[in-house]
Amino acid sequence: MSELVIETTQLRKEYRNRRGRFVAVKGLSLHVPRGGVHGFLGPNGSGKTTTIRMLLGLARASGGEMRLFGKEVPRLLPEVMGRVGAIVEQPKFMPGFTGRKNLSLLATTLGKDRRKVDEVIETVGLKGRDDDRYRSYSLGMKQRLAIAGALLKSPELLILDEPTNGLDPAGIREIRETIRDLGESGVTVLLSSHILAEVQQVCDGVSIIGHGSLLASGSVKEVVGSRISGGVRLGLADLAAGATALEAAGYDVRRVDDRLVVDSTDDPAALTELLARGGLYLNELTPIRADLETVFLELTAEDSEGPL
Amino acid sequence: MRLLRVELSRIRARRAIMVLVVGSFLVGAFVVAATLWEHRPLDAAAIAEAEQRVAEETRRPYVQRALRQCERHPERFGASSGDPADCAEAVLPQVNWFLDRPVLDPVELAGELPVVLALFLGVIAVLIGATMIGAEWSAGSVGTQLLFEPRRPRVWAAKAAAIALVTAVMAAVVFALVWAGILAAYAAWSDDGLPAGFLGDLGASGLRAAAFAGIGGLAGYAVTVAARHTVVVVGLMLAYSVIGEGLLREFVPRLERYLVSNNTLAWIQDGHRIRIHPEFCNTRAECRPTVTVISLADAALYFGVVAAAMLLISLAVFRHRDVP
Repeated sequence: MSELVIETTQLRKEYRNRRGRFVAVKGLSLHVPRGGVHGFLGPNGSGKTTTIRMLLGLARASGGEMRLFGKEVPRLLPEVMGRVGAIVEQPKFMPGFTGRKNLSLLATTLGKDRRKVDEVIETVGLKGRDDDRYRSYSLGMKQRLAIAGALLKSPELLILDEPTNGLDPAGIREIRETIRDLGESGVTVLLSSHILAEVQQVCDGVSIIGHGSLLASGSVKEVVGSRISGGVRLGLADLAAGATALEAAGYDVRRVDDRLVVDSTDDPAALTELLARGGLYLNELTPIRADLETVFLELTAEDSEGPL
Repeated sequence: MRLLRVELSRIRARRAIMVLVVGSFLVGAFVVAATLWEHRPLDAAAIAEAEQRVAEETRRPYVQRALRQCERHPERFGASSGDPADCAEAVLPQVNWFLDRPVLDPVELAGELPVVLALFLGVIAVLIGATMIGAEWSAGSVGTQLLFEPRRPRVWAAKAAAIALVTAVMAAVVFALVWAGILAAYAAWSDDGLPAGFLGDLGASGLRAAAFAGIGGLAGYAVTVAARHTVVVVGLMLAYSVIGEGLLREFVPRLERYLVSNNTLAWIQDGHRIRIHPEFCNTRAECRPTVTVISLADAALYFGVVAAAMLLISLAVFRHRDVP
């Protein structure tokens, strides 16, 4: 079994307010192996950010255990924090300071010198704007400054919470490439994102959570494969007759727009033969490819139907 | 030390804090200018005329009668004894009474000016302490900093130390500059020297004013760490000045010894007497005021306990609460 860089066991977070108790994370057991990019998916309010904040010591867990690089956190967080770079939600810097000043303060906290600041500014492409005040930066520049801050540590684990939020397509692409490069260079990246296509493109593994609990976890291929056993979309002149024939043969058939969708079949030839025997001829047969979005929507829909 | 350096650098880069520091220097300069203008030297003719009027008034029969009565009943005239010298000081007219403006006298100024300066610098220090951490809460940069140094007590202590240092040094420098201006003018305008030990006492009250400002800065910081908004500190200061200093003094006078203003007087002036007159009285004995003495040690204990309680609560809150 590969070494785990992030491990949570029965992690729990409750908030209390005047209206009562709210459970944001409910017994979450998350395992992120070393190396590569690991997606962390869940709908809004599912507990992703709360989980990340607990891992980083910004929020206290109400129960359960957490480990980073095998060390129990938050108790041993100071021992491992130097190996962890993170951006949680929006970048948060002093608006009246220049980008460079903000980074210099963080670098001094770490005991790093000016050269490291220069290096990360260069890496994220902020050179030339580093002496401008943070409040004058665009959202993309703020995000890049936050990444520069995270890179000050030369981290082994990078936790990114919605890093492409608010970026333009070029910015998204840049960040995606940076993440992929970091993953390939041996840095473990935990990427929390709403953009499912992005996760599927960039990530090696994925964990999906809903209502504070783990719904699925594994490599992207495994997670997609485990939920969708395949299906086909059929086009034919008489949809009603086709549906009747297929249902009579025991297939699970849905009508979607002007097509029929047959779920859970891995033998399109049998379908063709069955319909042809009834004098129904196909003008389209398209295998439906399973993707992360379908799995995500299916899992989170099931989760929201269940008890809260 | 590294974290302290970071916090000092952060303070230096904060424009609002620099405005407050520069503002305190400007107010200090204004205090010097106003004091010197109010006490600017008089010409010799004006002083001679005043001395002549003192001599004339002293010779008047009712004044001489009052002098004799004072020697028999010194308490009626506020004299410390029936000694002719004490009574002359209490009863006879003074040259100052007949001058257009007072003569510059550092000893007289040393009574109230250090307290006024300390209170002013204390308020500035509270605002510096509050705005420093308030702006960080507002920007969310405390969370970012904790991603680089997760030991919260260390981060808290570095910020507290930086604020105490900056506010105390600022107060000490402003205090020193104000008095340097006044003493330089006194040396230029007067042939008289200063009483023995005056400069030592002044230096000690300057150090106490600096410590007072440091505690003020820490108080502003401690409250804002817990409340997370600078405006809460401003609100508390206003509420205290109305409820604490105003209403308590008026309606619960026995609590006067616990007011910040009285303890500040005691702290800066090396002790303070509070006289509380009874609301209703018939005889002279009943009408005698109750005198409460707040010593320097009492004031030190008062500020020490208040500051320690605020800081401990602030640290506990910073250590345990989730950071946005």
